[in-house]
Amino acid sequence: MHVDLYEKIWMYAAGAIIVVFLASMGYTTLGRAMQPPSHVETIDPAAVRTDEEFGSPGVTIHEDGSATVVIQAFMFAFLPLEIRVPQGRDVTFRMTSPDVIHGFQIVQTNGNTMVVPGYVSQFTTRFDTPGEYLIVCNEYCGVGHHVMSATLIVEDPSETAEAPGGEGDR
Amino acid sequence: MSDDPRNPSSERSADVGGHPKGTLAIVGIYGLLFVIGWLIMYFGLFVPRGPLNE
Repeated sequence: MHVDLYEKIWMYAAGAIIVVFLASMGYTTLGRAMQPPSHVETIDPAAVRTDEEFGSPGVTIHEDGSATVVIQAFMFAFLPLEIRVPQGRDVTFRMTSPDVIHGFQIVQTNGNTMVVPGYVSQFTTRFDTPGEYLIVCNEYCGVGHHVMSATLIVEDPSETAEAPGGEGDR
Repeated sequence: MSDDPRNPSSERSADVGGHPKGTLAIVGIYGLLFVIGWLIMYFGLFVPRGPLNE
């Protein structure tokens, strides 16, 4: 069967590109355990604002220095607006939405998840570099989507424990 | 102007068996830049940012 020269070139090139991309992702997924977070937890979206956990969003610093951040994403803001977390410690983000689908992206990091009404999104990460990070909604949610943002402040663990919203202050 | 491959005209002599070499070069450069760009973004930006749920 005659195959045109350029079609042959394209077939080999496309195959090689696919192999390169799959090998790259296979290396990071299997070799470095970089996999999308997996968490299935449901919640009644109509009861989010009165929920014991999500009704009072904020940061909890645990005895081992790790933190849990509970976030409410709604049209068109995140609560809390300012999130202070300790540097170098495990930080677990738990978030849900009482209205529509939102996105949650910590700019300049791989922290990125969708926030879906009826589900609790959760992932755990660690911030080794202190500073201020912008959190944006990256899933179109309405006319105010472009102003939906929050601030994440990564600071020394001792400062986080003392600040409002620190240990036991939720 | 002759379409006879045994006696190609000057306009067709630059082709690869009747195919445009220049187009192949342009598409090849595009493909190369595409793959290099992807690898730079993936290994230079995404992977160094580290995993979640570690």
